[in-house]
Amino acid sequence: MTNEKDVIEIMLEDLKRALAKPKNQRKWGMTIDLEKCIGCHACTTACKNGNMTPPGVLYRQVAEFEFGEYPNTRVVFFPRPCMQCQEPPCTKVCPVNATWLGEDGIVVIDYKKCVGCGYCIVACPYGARARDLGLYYSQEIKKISYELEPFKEYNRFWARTSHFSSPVGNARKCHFCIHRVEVGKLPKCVDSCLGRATYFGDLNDPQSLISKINASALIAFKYKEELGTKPIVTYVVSSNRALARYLAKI
Amino acid sequence: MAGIRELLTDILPTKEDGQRVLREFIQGKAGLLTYLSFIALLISLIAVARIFIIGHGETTNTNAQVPWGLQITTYIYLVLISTGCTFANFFGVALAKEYYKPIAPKIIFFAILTTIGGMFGLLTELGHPERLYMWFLSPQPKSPMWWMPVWYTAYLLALIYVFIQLRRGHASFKHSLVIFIIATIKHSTLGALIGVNEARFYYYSALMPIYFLIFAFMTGVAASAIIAAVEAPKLGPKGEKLVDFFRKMLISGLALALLLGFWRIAIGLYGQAHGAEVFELTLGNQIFYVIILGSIVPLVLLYFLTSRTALILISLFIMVVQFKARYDLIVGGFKIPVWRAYTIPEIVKYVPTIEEMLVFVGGLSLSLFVYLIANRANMLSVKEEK
Repeated sequence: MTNEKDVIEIMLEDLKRALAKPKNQRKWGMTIDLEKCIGCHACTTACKNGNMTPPGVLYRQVAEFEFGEYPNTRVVFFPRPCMQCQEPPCTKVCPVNATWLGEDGIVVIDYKKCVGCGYCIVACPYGARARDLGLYYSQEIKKISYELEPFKEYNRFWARTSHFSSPVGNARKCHFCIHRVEVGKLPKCVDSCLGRATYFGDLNDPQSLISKINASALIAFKYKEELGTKPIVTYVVSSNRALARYLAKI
Repeated sequence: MAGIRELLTDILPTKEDGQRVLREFIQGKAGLLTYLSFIALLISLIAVARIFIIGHGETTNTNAQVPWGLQITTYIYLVLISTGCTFANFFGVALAKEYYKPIAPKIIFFAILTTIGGMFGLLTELGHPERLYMWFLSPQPKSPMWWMPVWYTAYLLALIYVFIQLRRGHASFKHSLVIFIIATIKHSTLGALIGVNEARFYYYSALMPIYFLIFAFMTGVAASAIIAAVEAPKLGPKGEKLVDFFRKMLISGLALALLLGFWRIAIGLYGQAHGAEVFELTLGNQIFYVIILGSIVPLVLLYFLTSRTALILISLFIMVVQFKARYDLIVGGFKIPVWRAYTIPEIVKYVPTIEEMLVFVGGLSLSLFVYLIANRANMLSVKEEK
């Protein structure tokens, strides 16, 4: 037994500090340490469960890649949440202003405004958006009440009771579980990460764990940064520059 | 009041014509194509009802990897024809007014109908079409898509006005120029809507607005050429000149399309960015449908075959091939996934459902059925020469 705090505990303390500040003075960020990701998909599962996402909508996926040449090969797990771009291509194309970059750095969607045209899905270079087509996992059998129950997103409850009720018909995406964050809880993917590979916190706070991780990382990269989208998610690898270069553009 | 009454008599059929068409339709004398398009329209309405009642998830095959499929292709293809019809009208009025004038209302009316048919496809694709009022309540002019209803409103109003004028016998160059300009702005905005997508290498190009205009010209002229060739016998010697004029205009359109199609492929093959391999993947299809079948074959055929029947058949052929080419363009943009997770194939495949296919049938048959009925009711002829 050690007295060292678990990173989850540290991040929860960071969260408390951040929430004490006005909203416009904090900037939520996420850093994923690819050396620690064990590819268990617990984040994907927890996210699905927490956000009640239907078939075809995955806020957080984990891709698997083989990297290197025989005999020096390895498998890399590459989780992909929404990059919460600070120059988001998805918000610019929305014809009805149904999606925008919030002052805390999160790209949000107003389900009541979204007309479901799919333009933001086409514009996202990360494949982070998908349309809720009104499918249910219990489609083939009788729809079970679990899938029809209200769930919280963007600080209000939604229920997918029919295909006319939002968010059915809308574009959906990862929002860093902002409804949880604002009540002092970590995003589902962070909470559930077995390898403690995902860090979350206020990037404006230099004392936060995420700021320290970002500052001390030997090799860090942003996914498809060359597109000028300014993604807020940072990926960290310990020493393999070639791997970082490979993943940054994959 | 008198003005409105006069306007209605100008655009609506007479009571006798209306009753005659209804009688012919009931008695089975309205023509095979009229019945076929009517039946196709009814069947497609069932498909549309299924999409909205059962939901997009179970009736369409679009998904996160292929967000736009056959319904958007239907929209793009039909509004492409509409734009091309206004271009044909512009050149008809400018260069061949004498023999083009009698068919001008028909071409403009078909342009109106194909726009409505295109909207039919588009509305079935939207997740929440009931929220279209958001365009006014929450506008975002930065988005090319926001401008589309603005241009469509101007376009349709201008087309309706010009149609009334043409019916009254006023084939004005000024009018055709105005709709030519509005159609150019509208359709190039649609090209820009696709072309601004940096995330999709297949789309991302400043060439796209011009590409859309040229292919609209070629496809719309093909549609107009069919109308011209069908109507030609009623025009006597003028009819022959009209057919020749449309044949030459179609040759010009095909030559331009060949040029632009070739350079789009060639420039695309040079790409090294993420997703650039899509041009290699679709090379066979593009060479076959855009270059060979889409341009060279009809060009050669039109050069050697000058008859009225040949013009109808070649134009029909062009329209069919162009539909395939538009489908390849829209769906091709999603062939290479932007995100390659283990659950996503290296090359994304999309096969439309029956409902999606019927949306296309519906858009097309709506345009065709209303056109045929209106034509039978003498709604599309010039009322008086002024």
